[in-house]
Amino acid sequence: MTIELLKVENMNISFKDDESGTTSAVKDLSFYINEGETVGLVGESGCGKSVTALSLMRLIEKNSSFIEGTIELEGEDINLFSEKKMRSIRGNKISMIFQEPMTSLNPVHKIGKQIGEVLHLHALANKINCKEKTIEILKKVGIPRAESIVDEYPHQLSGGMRQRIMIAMAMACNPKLLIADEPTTALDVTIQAQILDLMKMLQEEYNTAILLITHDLGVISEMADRVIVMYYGQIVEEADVRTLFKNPKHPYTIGLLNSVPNIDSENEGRLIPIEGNVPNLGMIKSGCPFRSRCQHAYVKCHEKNPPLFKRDSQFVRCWLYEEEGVQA
Amino acid sequence: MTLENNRSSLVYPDSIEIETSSKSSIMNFLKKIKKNKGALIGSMILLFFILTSALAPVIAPYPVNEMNFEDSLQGPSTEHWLGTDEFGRDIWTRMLYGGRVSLLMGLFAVTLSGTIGVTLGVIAGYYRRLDIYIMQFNDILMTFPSLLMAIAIVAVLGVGLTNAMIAVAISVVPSFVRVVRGSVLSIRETEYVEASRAIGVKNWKIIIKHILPNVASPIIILATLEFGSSILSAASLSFLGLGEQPPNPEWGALVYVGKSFLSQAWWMTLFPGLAIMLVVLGFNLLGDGLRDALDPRSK
Repeated sequence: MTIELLKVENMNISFKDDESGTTSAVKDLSFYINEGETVGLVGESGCGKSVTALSLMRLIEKNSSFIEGTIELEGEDINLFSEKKMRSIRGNKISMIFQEPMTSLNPVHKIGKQIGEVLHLHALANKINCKEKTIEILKKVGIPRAESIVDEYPHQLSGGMRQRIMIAMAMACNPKLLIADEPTTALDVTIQAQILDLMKMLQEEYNTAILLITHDLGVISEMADRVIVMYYGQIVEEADVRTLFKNPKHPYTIGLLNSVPNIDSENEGRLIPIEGNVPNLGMIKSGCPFRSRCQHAYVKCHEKNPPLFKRDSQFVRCWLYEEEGVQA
Repeated sequence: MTLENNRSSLVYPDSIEIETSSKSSIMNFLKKIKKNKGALIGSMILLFFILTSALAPVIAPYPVNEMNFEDSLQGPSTEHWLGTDEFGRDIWTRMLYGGRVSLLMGLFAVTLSGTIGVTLGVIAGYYRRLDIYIMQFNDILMTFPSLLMAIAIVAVLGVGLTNAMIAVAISVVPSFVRVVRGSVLSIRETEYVEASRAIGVKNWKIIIKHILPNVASPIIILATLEFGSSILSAASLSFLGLGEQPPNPEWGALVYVGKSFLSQAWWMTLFPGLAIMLVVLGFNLLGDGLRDALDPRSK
């Protein structure tokens, strides 16, 4: 029996512009995350992944942006929460790991103090047992000589270690949902594997759901149960990880998979890139935003943005699947 | 060459003495200061003036305001090291006491302007909604030459030592606001501030625990440099007769009085002027040294 933990419905995020009103960053986004599930969010730079992640924690500045739609955490809409209640949720029920471990720790505070801050905030430790608990958490994320590391500063640790510390901070309160915004992008491959293993292990232990944001399809195939592909602020394809890798439907997903190195490729190891770039936000007013880079684009693509078509458990936003799919 | 030496000596203690990190970082800092000749000379100059001013009542050879017309306008001698003024008062004694006023004026001005400036700068940088108002007001203040503004403020508040201090403090505030706002702007966008927001830390706590410690070094450096220029402004105000009033000594005021006797008694202007110059130089050397020592790139 799966329990729905987070449900986002029709979320629109737009930012105030200097000249022309607003620029829309995320359009009509709907998805859900079940308890203990890992959902991968894939897409190129600038497609709205990180903005989506920040909006789930309500960390986008209010006075320069508009957020519409509902974000339900365990059945409650977090957009209606007071700032105080929201603070008690951040780091407690939802927590986040950032991309750049070298800069996500404050250089002037000791490691122990920074982890202790989370514990204090959410009343999981008092002054007496704080250090003890911190060491316990550090040991759990596989930090060697945890007793002495609590008294060290971030610049004395390597990138992989710092990311472990960040995970320790994020997992300190056993959150229901962990948002990992490109957690391994800045790490080298061997450390990447260790960090991913660690996240998996903690997930199994605490039944935490993970929203894994990345542009690395290798990481997705390793970690995710279900994958959401985003392009230009909207979902273009959604499927479970096996289906997506075996049978990608949207031309963009196919393009993404083609640009990953593959040992058995017929193409003599050459990669097929997707031509062009993601168009600037606000540039495309009508039609499918991917059409300018799509080999299959035809008249209809220029006229109207396709809706999501459902086929079995797979969702695709492309006119090519209009006949065989059901409009979702 | 010295830079290279500094770098290599910085790297080693850190990696070897990991266990005693907090102690070694202070030691490191002192080491860096020691290596920097300018900072060393600067702090020695300042130490000399601070000590002599603090000990003025003990080491002053004569009472500060006692007139002795027989000895008036005498040049430097073994009896009066730096000569005497038109009333026969010992210049050395008056400089010792004048130093207390000058240094205190600098301290007061920097403390007051630093407190106001840092507060406004943090508010402008962190709560962006007030940014435009604070900065535009700040820009208006900055268009006035600081001395001119200090004079204008004294004109409004009235002549006197306290008002002169306030005037100098207000004229220094804009540079604090500007520097602090800039640093806060860059720190508030860092991932560790975002991360602390993501674990549910309150805004004021983020400011105190995460932002202020990271903007401390530019504040310390600026405070040191402004200390020097505040003393200079205060002396200028006194020179114009707007600061400390006679018969109380102040370096700027001493220069002002000496100006009338420039052709007969050069020592009356030279020595107080030299003291002002040396103290300002000391603060500038120390400020430059601190900038090198606190530079995060050399960590």
